[in-house]
Amino acid sequence: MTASLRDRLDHLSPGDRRLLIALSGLAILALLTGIVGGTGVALARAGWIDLIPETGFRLLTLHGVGIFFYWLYLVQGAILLALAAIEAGRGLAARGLAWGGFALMLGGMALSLGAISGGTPLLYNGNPELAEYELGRLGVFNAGYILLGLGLIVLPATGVATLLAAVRRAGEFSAVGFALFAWAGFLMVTGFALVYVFAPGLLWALGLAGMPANHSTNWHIVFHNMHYLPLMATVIVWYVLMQELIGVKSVFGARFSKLVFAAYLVFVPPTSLYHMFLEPDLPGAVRIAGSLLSLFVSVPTLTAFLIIVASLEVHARARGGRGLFGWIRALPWGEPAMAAAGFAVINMAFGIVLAFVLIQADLAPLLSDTFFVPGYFHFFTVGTVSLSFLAALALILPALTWRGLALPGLARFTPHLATLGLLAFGGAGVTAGYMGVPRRVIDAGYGGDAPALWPALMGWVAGGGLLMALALAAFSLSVAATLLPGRATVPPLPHWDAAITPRPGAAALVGPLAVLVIVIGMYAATATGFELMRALPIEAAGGAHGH
Amino acid sequence: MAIDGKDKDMKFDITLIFTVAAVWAVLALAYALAPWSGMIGYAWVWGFGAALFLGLGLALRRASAAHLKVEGRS
Repeated sequence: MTASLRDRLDHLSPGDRRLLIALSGLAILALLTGIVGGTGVALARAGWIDLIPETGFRLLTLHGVGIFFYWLYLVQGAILLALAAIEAGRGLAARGLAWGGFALMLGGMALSLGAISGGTPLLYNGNPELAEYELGRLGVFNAGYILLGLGLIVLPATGVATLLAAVRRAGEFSAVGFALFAWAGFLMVTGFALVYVFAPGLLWALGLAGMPANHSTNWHIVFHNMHYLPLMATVIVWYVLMQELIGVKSVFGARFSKLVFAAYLVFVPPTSLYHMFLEPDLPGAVRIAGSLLSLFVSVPTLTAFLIIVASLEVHARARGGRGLFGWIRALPWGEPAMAAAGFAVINMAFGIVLAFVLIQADLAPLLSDTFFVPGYFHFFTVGTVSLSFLAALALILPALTWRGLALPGLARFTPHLATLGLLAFGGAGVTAGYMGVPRRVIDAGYGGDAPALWPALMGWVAGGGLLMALALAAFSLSVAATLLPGRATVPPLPHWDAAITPRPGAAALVGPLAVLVIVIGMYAATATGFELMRALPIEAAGGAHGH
Repeated sequence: MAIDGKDKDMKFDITLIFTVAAVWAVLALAYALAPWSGMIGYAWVWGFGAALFLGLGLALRRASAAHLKVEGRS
């Protein structure tokens, strides 16, 4: 059996540790900042706190910038480099380059947060039309994203150099090594996209070019990448966590896993067409092609889901797990990382069902500007991706600092609570979307003029959002406690004994059944959407808007 | 030269990376030639990605060859 993740991280040099700790710490800070902003917006939408619209939009910008841009990308950098370092077995190659990437991302975060601290809130997509009279602010905001983009080109280059050094020594990639290599490449492309999309606004602010005329179309390029990269990273994290926590490797072999990881890079870019469904001049044939291509977008995620669930089930049954779902109880749920990854899998199923409603050409124009969008995407951003990344940090950081999570007994239940909050937030949010409640407003009650159901749904959104935010913040702080000096040394994780060889021909039914349930769910959510919206007394028409 | 399983796996990995580069290159070309306006940004980004993955594939092939050389098999 190979050494555990903790043992392998234990051998990293102090320099590598410092870098990984700095990246992780900054990532958690960005997450907590974003949680504060999001909580404020959710409470204001329900009228539980009274905010002037400008403050509400500033909090919304803080939420989007802090979480969607800095948390999700700093933490990916930390996890990528940690896993690459132990994959190579000799630490990071070109660590100075990674520090350069870290400095760029830190500088980017300072500029972005500085720009949104006053003036007109630009929202997280930095729409230049909002900044016509505040060009200096737009320049600083865009410079922040450009530095983030440059950081995303430079920092993963360290991962690539480390993995290439490993191949030069060993002559092969494990499934995880290959996935890290592909992931690093995709991060670098996304960094380039950020620079490409936000450079025109900076040039405009500096007086070197005219107003960017194409920002909303270009925004979708970066948005599409930033959507799917965390999902690719999530399934890599699941793959690693299952090996580490349970000792389970794919029953389909490393080659098939590599094929699935590469499939992300093959399927995701062509599917970006569906973001253009709101463009009025998009030809009909392209709209149809986009609809067909969008069907492929979840193929890699669903396949990875099947691999992981089937592998777990086969191994758990070999250990005596019985019944259709009885084997699930045998997994080590006492570990906070296991609980987080387990609930992430469940939340991803909800997210996929709802995502398929939104990316249909006929429904996208009706739903894209409604609260359906935040209702569904939090199943991914919070329920799937953030829980999975925190699960990874919950294993990586104790191994780097030799200090354990704070209140682990509480931390193990935070994924349960976050999911409960998410079900309220997402369920009410999606229903609100079907009812036509708009997304980007702060007073969703319209001073008492809104339909009676709207404030009630926003109340559920606020309550669910508050629970979700508190649970996620508690989990983050528990993980962040590993960074504080003076805390006790943590004992190694107990290993689940998965060394038992599975029976040949052992059945694994839950994965395929879950996919069947997801497909039925997609059909039901689509049909429900059509029926509910047919009953609305208004006719909706799409415009050129970004998510 | 005897090709063992490790070498076959490495060739498979390199082929996957080159496949990604090829798909992205085709996509970049399609966006570059798209008759409707405003999509040239997609061509730049996916074109950059195609060039990057081509470079990554070549670097991977070189690293693999360096390993074979050290083992005295090339």
